[in-house]
Amino acid sequence: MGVNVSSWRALALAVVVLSPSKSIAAPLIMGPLYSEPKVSTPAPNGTEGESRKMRQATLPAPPTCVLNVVELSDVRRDPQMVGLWRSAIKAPVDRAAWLRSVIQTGFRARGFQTSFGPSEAAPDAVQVKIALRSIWLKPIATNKTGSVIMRMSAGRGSLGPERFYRADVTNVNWWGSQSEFNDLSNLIFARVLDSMTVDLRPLCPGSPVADTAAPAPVQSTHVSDAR
Amino acid sequence: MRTTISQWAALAVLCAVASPAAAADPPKILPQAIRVAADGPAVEVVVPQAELDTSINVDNAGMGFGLIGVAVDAKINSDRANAASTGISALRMTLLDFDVDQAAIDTTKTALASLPWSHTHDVNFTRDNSVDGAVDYLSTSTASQAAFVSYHYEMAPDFSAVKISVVVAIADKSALPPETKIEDRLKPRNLAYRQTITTVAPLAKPTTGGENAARWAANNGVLLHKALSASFADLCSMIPRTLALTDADLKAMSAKDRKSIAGVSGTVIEDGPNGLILFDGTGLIHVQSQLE
Repeated sequence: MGVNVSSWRALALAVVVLSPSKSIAAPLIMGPLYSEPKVSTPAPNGTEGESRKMRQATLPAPPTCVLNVVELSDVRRDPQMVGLWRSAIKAPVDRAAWLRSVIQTGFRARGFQTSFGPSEAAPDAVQVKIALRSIWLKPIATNKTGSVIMRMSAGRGSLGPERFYRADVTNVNWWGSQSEFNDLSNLIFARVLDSMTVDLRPLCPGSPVADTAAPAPVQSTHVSDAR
Repeated sequence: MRTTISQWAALAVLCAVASPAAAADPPKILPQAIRVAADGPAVEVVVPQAELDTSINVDNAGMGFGLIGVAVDAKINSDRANAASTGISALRMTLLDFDVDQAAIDTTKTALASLPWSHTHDVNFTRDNSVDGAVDYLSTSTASQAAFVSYHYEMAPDFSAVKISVVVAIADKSALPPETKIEDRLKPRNLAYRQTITTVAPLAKPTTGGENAARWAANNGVLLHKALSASFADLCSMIPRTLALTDADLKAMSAKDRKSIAGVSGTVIEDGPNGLILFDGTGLIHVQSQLE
């Protein structure tokens, strides 16, 4: 069998890439905190009505709108796990801080001020109760995919009915690194926050948006990102 | 199949020189030592997914054509993954009120309770199906055996059926030399037992993937709820039936005629009004009656 130097190099590279070294098999730990995705994502597949709502969601909320988060919970079974890629993909050690950063950083990027707990409530604040129902990241062939489901009830004076907000994103799995999966989770959270923003903005005092359409019981967005 | 683009390319280089080593299969018949153990196994239910999964037919035809072939494969697989993700979203929304994890826990308890040897303890639940996760459970368990009951539920690539697969694996600490490392006790050759049980709920007269998905999702997923409920109920009897198999049963089942249906194949064990039961060499497969 004739093998030249370049073949050996290619073989060596292949062995290195495919070998399950200790570091590759170690769990991927997400976080530690949410950061707003810097790159804009493609418009989600959906109806024109959904697209309109998504465009509205990108507008800033009225400057005085304060979200008072009266309850923020993680209701998942086995909450340390957020996915699987060779080994476990795990939530940050401080899950409470991570989830709080999703709400605080995410809604700040969408034009809201947030406060946590009833004692911090401003008189005109929109009250919200939010739960993380599910997050799961995994590979599918040469792609990676993930979804997030959150549950929210919101209102001024009293909380409205609970609604589910779900988003999923599928994109290319280049290296399967921690930062790649962490970026994916941030991207999915951002899409969920976009959907929540659509329902929250009309509740703000003096909101210029009058969304008279009856809210659907669930919001769901799907993004196939070819990057 | 868990592969990055970089690995796919490397695999194309390696495929000509590497061949997978045959791994020793664990026993498919439950050893007598397990059936008569005094304390029964500790039980961990593993559901390594948070939502209904989707599968694709992975294309690797380009593997023999170097990097260009790899790139073509990657594009095809990416398109298939995106199409599957698009179709599955509506189905997942209809399952927001269906607690599959609890159904898996209840099914495991019911199935094991019918076996005289199991002495079922409280079951532990995890999403972690990694070796590290199993090692953690085995090393902290005080029971001499640990049973891992792993569920996987998914739609067929063309949405023509919903399938639940259960792998029952039992590690017996007492059957190996004391110096055996915990992680080595979980290697296939050291497992005391492993069997797969599959139940398939096919759609009647399936057409295109999009139309099939729409039928499952109609009326807030009533058909999908029905299929999952029926499948978990089916597993309550299929799991103990599988665990009770003897060596003579396996030999007799392997000798029967083969048949392929709804994306699965195996020797025909039963064919009646409740569907078809096949044996594919790794376990029993129940293809249920078609759902209208």
